[in-house]
Amino acid sequence: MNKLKHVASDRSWEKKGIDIWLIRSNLKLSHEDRVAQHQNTLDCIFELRKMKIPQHAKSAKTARISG
Amino acid sequence: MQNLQKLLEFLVKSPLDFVIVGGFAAVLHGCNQTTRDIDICLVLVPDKIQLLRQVLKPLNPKIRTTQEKPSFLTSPEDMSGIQNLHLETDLGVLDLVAKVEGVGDFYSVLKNAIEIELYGEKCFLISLDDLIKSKKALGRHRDLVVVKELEAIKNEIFR
Repeated sequence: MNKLKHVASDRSWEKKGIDIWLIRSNLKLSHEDRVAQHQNTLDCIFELRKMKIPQHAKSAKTARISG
Repeated sequence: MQNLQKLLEFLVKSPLDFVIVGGFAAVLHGCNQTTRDIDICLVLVPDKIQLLRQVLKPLNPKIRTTQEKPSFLTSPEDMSGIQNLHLETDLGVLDLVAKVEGVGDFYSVLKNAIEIELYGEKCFLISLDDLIKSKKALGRHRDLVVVKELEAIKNEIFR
């Protein structure tokens, strides 16, 4: 019965757009590991942005030429 | 490049008295959201601001809210009545606030704050309930997304 209640609760969080499994995984980490995981995400975002820079530069140049 | 991990380590190892609040506090509580700054709540009176200047000096702090981005080491000259300081440092963005929306000043935030250990040092983190209150008080879409996650965390902890 208790297990069923948990399944219902998980579904209700999913409906709210919350990844409850990811949160549970975070809660198992130490505070330092949560910070490290967050920094890894920031580093990935930074790398992705860096990869996009030449594309922006190219489109800006094209825009100037065509304008 | 921003390194909020190193910035946090720098702060917790410093002699500053503060409580971690805002988005980074949400991360420490277990949220999945990503934040680009560290927010801390502290007492912003002239002698504490002077200490802040000494402590942050190695990080080349600048006031990021004005176009000229003057050095925080010399600006503002008048340190009375400051409620917020929005800084850009070599390790990332650091926001310092004297009050947390929906909760109150440093001492009100500290009253319910939890003590955690980070990098071998004890530091204070705004309580889950106060963080929910402050995010609700701010009321922006991104804050309300965090509120949902914080409520899920609360549910997980107390179930």
